Amino acid sequence: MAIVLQGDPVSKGISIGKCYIIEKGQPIIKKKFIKKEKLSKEVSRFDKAVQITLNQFIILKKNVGNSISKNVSQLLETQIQLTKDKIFLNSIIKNIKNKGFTAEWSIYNEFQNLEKSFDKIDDLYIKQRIDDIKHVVHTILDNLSDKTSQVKTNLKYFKNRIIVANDLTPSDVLLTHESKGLGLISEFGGQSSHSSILTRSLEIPTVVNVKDIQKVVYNDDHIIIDGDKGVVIVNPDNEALKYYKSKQIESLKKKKQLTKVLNKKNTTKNNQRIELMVNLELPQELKIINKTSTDGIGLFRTEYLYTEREDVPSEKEQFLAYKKIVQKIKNKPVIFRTLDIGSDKEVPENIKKGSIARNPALGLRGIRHSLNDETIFINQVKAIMRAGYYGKIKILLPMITNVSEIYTAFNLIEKAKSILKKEKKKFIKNFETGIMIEVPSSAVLANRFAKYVDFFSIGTNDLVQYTLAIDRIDEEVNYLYDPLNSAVLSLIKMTIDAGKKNNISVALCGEMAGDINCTKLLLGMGLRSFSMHPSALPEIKDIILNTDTSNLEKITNKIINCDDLEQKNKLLNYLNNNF
Amino acid sequence: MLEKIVKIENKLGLHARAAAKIVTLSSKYKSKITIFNGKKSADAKSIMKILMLSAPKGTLLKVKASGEDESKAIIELEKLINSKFKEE
Repeated sequence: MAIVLQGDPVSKGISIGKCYIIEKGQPIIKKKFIKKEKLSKEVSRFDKAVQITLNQFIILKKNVGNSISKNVSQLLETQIQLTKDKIFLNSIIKNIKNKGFTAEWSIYNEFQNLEKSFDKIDDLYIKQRIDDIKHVVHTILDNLSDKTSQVKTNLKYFKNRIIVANDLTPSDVLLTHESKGLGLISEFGGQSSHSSILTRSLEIPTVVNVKDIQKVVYNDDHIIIDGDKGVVIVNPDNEALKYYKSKQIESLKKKKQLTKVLNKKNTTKNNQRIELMVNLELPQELKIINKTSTDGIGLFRTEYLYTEREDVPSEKEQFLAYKKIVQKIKNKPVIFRTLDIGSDKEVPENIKKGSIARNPALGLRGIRHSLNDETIFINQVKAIMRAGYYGKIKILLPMITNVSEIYTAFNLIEKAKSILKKEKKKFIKNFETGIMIEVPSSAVLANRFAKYVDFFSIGTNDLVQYTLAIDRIDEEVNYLYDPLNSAVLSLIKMTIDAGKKNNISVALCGEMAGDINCTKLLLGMGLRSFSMHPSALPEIKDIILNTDTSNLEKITNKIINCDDLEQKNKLLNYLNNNF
Repeated sequence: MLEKIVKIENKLGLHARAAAKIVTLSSKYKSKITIFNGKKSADAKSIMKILMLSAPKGTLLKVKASGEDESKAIIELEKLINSKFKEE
């Protein structure tokens, strides 16, 4: 019998195949020994993982607070004490020291002992507490895990399989990619987690938040993933199989056709050179970009370094991360956007400043956060400039709304330079610095701002939100989210014109850049630089190659000035089909 | 060394939260504190061991404390258990 489940679509595409279930920690733990001289190192590795686990629970408890739920808070207190349990921890350490086990194997061993003891208990309630201990053990194991070593041990399980997990980690996703897994399903997880970003970039069909998936599937069950709709079918009947197989073949055909355009130059039909760049959120995404088609990284988001962790990344850690990216994409620019935290990107505990804003989108976010905490900003800028020594970098400042912010940020960059000089570190002194145009004020004043900066990058997602005063995530108003609204288009046009007039480059890096319906319109408005999600590039490039930009202006202006929605869509269709 | 017999009176017995409270309290004292349920014994500073005592409502437990602050420790523990862990 087929079972159909609905989850959240995270990465498009269709996959059909047998499944492999990751039981957290299970396939990873094997009996292994540690060399004598490395035993004390192993103990401190274990201690560190315990400490991290403890901190995670403590922070969680703090966040939950007594006022919200006394029960949950007390439950977490139990978890904390389980993690602190000296007898438990000491017997694991003893296992490492005396028997030479790895930390993982020692924990597993101790857990098995506990499981046996709890099994003998008659009281059902107490018996079930083994689940609490299991959770603690899994969290410690997770914090112990060295992602690179997991990759090697697991490869063979994933090949040609659809992976089913409780929750996806970025390493699960990478593993699936590297071992040619077919798709990913998880019972939990959200659309904007690191692993979801990664799976989209690697174009692995993925559905998350599929309730009960772990209850209904067994290893080797046949599964269909529909990553477009978020549907998962377990043990499908022939009819469903036939339907999805033909759909799969169709999309593969289309993909194959598109790869042909990738080797051509980025020019329009009338030989106008267009810059095509990609937006990246994680360094691992570098793997997937097509180097011949890409003119650079138009937007490298740096938030990933700051989120999903307890501490703040050091200058050195950032430098090493940025350097790798710059070196990998040599000769082409990487535009680093400084930390843009806040609003939909919730400020993580480690870098939180002040109280939680009542309205985060209008609160301490983007450049405001950076100017509020100079140390974080200076460290980041130092790291970027040091990475610049090994390739080509530009710095992009988010959420600029007035000249004084530009002025203050530039001064801090100069300060960072003089610190680097004093520290005698190698870094690049001359590079371009630009600003995001994502608030109406900066679009309106683009002509004035252009005198201070080297380039503009239009962020349409926020520009639409701030111009139309709607929150994209708010389900009650998001029908008002409209990038084609005349006010939005006018602001984009103003920015492009201001760039032209002052001879600075203007790129567009919001979702509009990757929207096939908007490509010709943006070309008509004078845009010559697009930065988009890597997976959108082939399709956009295909459109650009087939567009003649010489006669677009008239119809573009008609669209910008059209107040009737139906008429506007008609005009847009006409533009997309006839130019 | 001091000893005391106490009776578990709360509905759920020595469940996780109650055990957590015992551990929190015991950890404040330097004395070695052991709790006995028949033949089984548990270090009062280890939540896992206390859980494994498996003491439902009505169980009689023996509490032993030895160390410089043993009398304070045993009095406070008795208070906690007799108050049904301040829950009901």
